[in-house]
Amino acid sequence: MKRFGVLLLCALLPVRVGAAQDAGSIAGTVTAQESGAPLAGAGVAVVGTRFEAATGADGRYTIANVPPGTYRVRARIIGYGSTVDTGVVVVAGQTATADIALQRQAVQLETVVAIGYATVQKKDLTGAVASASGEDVLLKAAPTGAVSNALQGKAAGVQVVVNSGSPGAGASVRVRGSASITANSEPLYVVDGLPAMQGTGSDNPTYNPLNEIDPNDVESIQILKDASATAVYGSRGANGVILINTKRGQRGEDRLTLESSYGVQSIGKRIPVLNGPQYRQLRNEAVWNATKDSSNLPYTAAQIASAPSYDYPDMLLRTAAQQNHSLTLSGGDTKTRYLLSGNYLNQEGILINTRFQRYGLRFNLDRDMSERFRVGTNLSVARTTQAINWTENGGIGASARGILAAMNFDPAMPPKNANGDWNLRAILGEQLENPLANISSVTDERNEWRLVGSVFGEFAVTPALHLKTTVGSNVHFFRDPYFAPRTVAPGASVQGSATENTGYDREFINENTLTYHRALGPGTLDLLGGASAQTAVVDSGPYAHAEQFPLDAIEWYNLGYGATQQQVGSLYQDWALLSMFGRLNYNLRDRYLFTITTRRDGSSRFGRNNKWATFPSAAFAWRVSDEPFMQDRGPFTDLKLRLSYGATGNQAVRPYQSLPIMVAAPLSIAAGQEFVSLRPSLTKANPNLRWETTRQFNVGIDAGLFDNRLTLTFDAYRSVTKDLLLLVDLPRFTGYANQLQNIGSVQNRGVELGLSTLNVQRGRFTWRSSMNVSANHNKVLDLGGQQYIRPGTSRYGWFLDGNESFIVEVGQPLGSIYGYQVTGLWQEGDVCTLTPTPKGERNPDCIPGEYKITDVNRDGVIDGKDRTLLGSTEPKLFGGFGNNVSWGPLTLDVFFNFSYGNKVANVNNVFSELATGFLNERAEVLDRWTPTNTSTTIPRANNARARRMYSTFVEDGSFLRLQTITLGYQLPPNLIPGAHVARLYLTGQNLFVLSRYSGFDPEVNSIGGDSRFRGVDAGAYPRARVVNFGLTVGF
Amino acid sequence: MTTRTLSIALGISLAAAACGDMLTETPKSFTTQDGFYKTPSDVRSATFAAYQPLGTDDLWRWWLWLTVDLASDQVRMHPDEPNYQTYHPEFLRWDATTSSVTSPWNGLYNIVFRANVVLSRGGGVTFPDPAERQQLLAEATFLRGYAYLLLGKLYDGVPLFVSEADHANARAGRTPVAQVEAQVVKDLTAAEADLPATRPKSELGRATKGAAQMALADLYLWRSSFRKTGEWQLAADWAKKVIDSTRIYGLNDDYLSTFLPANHGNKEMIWVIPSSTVQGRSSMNLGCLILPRILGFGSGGGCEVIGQPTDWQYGSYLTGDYRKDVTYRTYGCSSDANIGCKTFPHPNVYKYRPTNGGVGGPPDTDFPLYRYAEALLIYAEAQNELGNAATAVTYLNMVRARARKGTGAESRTEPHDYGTAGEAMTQTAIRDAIFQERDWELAHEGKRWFDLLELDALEPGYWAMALQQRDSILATAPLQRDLRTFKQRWPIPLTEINLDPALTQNTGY
Repeated sequence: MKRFGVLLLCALLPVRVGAAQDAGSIAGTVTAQESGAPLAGAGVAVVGTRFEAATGADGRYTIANVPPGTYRVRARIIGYGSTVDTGVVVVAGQTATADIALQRQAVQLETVVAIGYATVQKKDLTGAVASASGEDVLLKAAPTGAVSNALQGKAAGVQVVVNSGSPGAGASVRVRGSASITANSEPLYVVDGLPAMQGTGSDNPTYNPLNEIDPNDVESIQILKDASATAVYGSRGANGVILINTKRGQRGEDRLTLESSYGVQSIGKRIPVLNGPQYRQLRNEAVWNATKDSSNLPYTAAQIASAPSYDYPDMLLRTAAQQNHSLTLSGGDTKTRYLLSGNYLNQEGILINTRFQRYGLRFNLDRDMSERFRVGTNLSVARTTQAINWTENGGIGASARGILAAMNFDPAMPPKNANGDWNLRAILGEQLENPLANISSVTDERNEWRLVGSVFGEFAVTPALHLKTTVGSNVHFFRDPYFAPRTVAPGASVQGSATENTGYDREFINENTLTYHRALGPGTLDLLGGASAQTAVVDSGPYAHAEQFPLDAIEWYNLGYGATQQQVGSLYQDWALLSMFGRLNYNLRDRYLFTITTRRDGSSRFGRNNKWATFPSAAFAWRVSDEPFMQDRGPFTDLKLRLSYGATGNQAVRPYQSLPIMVAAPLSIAAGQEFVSLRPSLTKANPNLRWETTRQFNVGIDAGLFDNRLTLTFDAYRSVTKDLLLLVDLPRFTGYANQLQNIGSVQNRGVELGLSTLNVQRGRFTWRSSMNVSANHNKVLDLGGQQYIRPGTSRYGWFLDGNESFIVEVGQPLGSIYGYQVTGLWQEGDVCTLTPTPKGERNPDCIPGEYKITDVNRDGVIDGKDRTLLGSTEPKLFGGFGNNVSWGPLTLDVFFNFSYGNKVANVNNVFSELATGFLNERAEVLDRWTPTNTSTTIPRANNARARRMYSTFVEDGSFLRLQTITLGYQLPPNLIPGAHVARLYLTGQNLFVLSRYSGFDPEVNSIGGDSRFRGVDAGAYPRARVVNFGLTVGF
Repeated sequence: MTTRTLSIALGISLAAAACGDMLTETPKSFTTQDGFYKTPSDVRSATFAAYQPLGTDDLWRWWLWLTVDLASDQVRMHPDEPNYQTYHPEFLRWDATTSSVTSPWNGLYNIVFRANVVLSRGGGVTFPDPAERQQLLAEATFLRGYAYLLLGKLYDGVPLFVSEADHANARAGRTPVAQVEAQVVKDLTAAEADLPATRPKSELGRATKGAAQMALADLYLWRSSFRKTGEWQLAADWAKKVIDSTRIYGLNDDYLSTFLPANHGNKEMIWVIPSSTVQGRSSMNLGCLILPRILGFGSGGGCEVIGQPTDWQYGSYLTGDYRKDVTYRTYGCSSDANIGCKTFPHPNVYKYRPTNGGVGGPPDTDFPLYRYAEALLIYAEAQNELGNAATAVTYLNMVRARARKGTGAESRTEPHDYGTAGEAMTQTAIRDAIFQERDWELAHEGKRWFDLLELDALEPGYWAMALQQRDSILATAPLQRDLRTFKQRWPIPLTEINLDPALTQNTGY
């Protein structure tokens, strides 16, 4: 300890620079441009030197001992744009005056950027970090109820796909592409310093870990992209890190802010389907073409002609209301700062009986116990209810729900029978359950409670050495009820079916960091050292299911009422992560910036031989614009070059995968009885399981031109992920099916460009623009010697079996669609190249009106061997652009986002446009091939046609969306008594989408975050157009 | 102050770094192999785990039953069944990648592996009653024998593993089928010696001497015909052991009562897969396989994948044969009032009738693997091939006589005793009659595919003829069966061949 003290003492000795005899000084006042009021605490620096000072309470500053010369002097303070006074001439022995007026700036957080365990001035940043501030970018321009929506299109290199239009839908986020095949590819979220629960890799498209956060509470969001920025998160950094900081109280008067909005939502697009007679006609034709046996025909001509028609999609849709209110109290005195907020969101879905609700409370407190000791807390409690009620499950065909089921349901069947009871299900074909009955009567909800809190203490051992300790926990409880009464199909045959699924997950974390700042030689040194320990428990269950209820009224509230109680389950998993990390920043003459970061992580999830790994990175930045030779710098106000290289990891695999697991194998022994035997898991243990490691190289430019009226950030990167965790097949005769191994690699390469401009600033009129565009190219480099692997089954099975429709292949991107290439339809007279039947008849795959499928291997038979790549779901370009115009109290924000060059697998059409007649189909099928209608792309009716991934389902998913348009009006002060600020706004979201996609919306991901099955539209909940009116008042 | 704070902070950090044992996983919600196979109860559980694949989708719960029945001339798929064309078994359009013919491989090797684990580890566990250990090991031996019997019948030669250690060899080649079948004989005879003759109903589904004897009779009958080994006498001998166990086994008076859930473990059932009725776990999936979709059974509707007899099958019964009335129906009712009762355009298999009619929960019907009636017919067939026509006809007629009893006390005219209506008494004619009887008696029990192969070996061309002519729907449909002879052997799964270059593929694939 003593030696440490000595070391510290040595380190703390100030490095004095001798004052030159012939020096002068610079002095002046920093004021606010609008009011002329002096600004206290502003930092003033002589650009390109280490000379700096801060303003006092009167806004004055003095920088002494400046050698003679001509300088640029820059003043900065949070909340204002930095301004540079050029041409300040210092003469020996005299004081030059530089008074600087700062303009209040819209984007406050441009100046300070959170980088994980610390903040840094944006100019000193060496890594690739995208940022968005809450107040302006997220709220004023585009008010929304979901943080994930707010992120869409806002940051270069960050692809945010909101999985569907369901209220509270999850988003799948890719920072610089998918870096993993089977492990989670979603970024790490860190909210107020606490890592949020992982789990966004879930293939459930409705799951969203950010749902509990009210966007009104968000102060800033930073997205760490390159290895230098994410390395401090080591084994969790490979997919990028999203840092979310919530608002904190500020010194000053108590403030009360009310945000309130009300809106209506309606469907943006409708898709017509066949009516009753058309459907019956299709069905008869399909059966006849398949069997040529009239005894199989389901309908007579009279039944076809007299069929009634019911518009099921219309019966499920509605115009839905949404409201969002939040109240924030904040303030502070010299020692204590606080922020207390409460919020309520109620968003109805545009499908009846669906909704998303959120109640939340947040309490952030900072207290200066002494000059050197500060304590604080972040606490939040949120409750969310997501009532999806059987409108989205990613199923198609017989398991379709929601809007797809409505489009597929027998249009000739009335919703209710003559007695007024629901018709349970269609009688023929796929026997789809009545979607209107199900959505009206089935309860299927996700109720979540999250309690996230941390307490921290920060102690300034010396002014330069700070110690911070944080203890936090993250508690998540959920209770998902399901109930189907006997009046609808899923409950009818079992007299009511009820399920409750509960879970109680908790995480505990302790982090300790030391930061040290001092001048060293010609620059400044910042050191960060830390240790962290995190433990987590995933405690799912009990899950319980019961049937045979004496009555429906009890619903799921007492499963004991059920006569048959079956299917109970629970699961307990725990894991731990121990870490040590350090970061060194050295700023040489404000021009050369060096960062070295290392994290060493030990994770319980890996094999006993590979528990620990180290993730180092290094970065260098050069502030070219601060070089003396750039003093008369032409257009550049600011110019910085960045370089970084480093390694990060991915530990987001399920726990216990390295162990030889025994699993339950239930079997019947004796009639009516079950015995649960234990058998070895089909996945063989691998004690050598280790991390996936991503190595990324990044080069970037940050530039500001014409007094920062144009700023741009450009990055190019290449990352290679190695040791991918993949299930490697084993011959089944070994007793195992596969083993999780570290093989294979994936590469992501890309470029990102962000631009923002101040186009016009004249008097009360301002016009700003911003845009970002990114291109990422993902490529599988190696699969452990195999050319391709089948991606395994998705959770939906059936046609959507991943083995049948997607492929992971060397040289191709992840999310490659795989299936049968259709080049048209067979016509009368075409020469059939396929092998005739044994009886010598024409091959059934080339009967006129059938799909002309490419016989890829030219063996004369169309079978699984003829499948081929049908396209990639990865966009070639994506991004967003916006304009902000303000004229006095009026502001107009318009924001577009876009995606170009990606494919969408519209698997809905396996049932809706294949002319098989098993279910009702889209109106396009009226144009199906018949001997008299041959000029079409829709095949003839045929219920024997195989349901497979045809290229006709693979559609262009490019789109341009008017994401938001907001018109705001700033009311004059005190128009509302006591309100120092009041603003009204009108927002439109998703008002139009330009796209050639034939489904509801090309931005869709029915299989959630899984990188292998991207861009699947399987009955996705349609996205709404929203018009929102809101009010913000601050007292 | 400074020093103390620092020491605390460093202490916390070092403690965090030092608690490395936090990284050792100690799972709570499952056990690992390291801690298992130690107690008698572990060995019992491990033995039951070797039975478990029989009732899974790989085998008799879905693919094996579906494929052998759908590919035979007995069953057709309802043409309105979704994805009709890609149900490869109906059209014999499978290849080395289709689950219909590759899943059974997985299920059978699961049995082999789990049996070998029991045999390799169970011997070292001390039991209070050593007889129980011996019996459990005998069950594992029996299951391994049965799995290799089916592997040989479906794929011919396969990798032959007889200990847990063998399974570590991921580069195994195919052992010649004669050697595989020699192991079957060895396993089944060894098991037969140690298995109990009878079991209480609480052990329904577990192997007995009778089950081993039937499996041996099955093996020798198959070898004698399909492999032309002429071991008819051995087939007859093993079948006769079952037939003579009259204190244990016999024919029920009422054919239907054999299958009714009320009569679990009746004297005609030698080995069955019982249905636990625990939904979605261990219950049989009869509902979806055979119940008609039009009635909308259960919560997901019926499936009727193998629920329809071919017109040939339905028309083949002698007029008045009680078994036709029992095995099929043309009318049924749904619990859904909107659907109500329906007359079906085509008959539907209804031999397995769950207590609840298939409505509301899983069926409680057991699936028979070996029945007493089959012992009689195996014996009849073997005797006929041995030249003892009279004995053959006597045993054949025992099965027919029971069918004439109808519900038990009837005396129907059909099926009349073979030979009393002027039938030919040649060996071929009697053989054909026995195969026809097997078709009627054992309909929808997963036997017909193998019967066609055996008969084809004895009467070349029979297999293709039967499949080509007896599926009326196919006469007009554009879809044709792929009747190339190589389809008689199933392909070794392509995934296995890709992983193990030492494996060879069956001809034609």
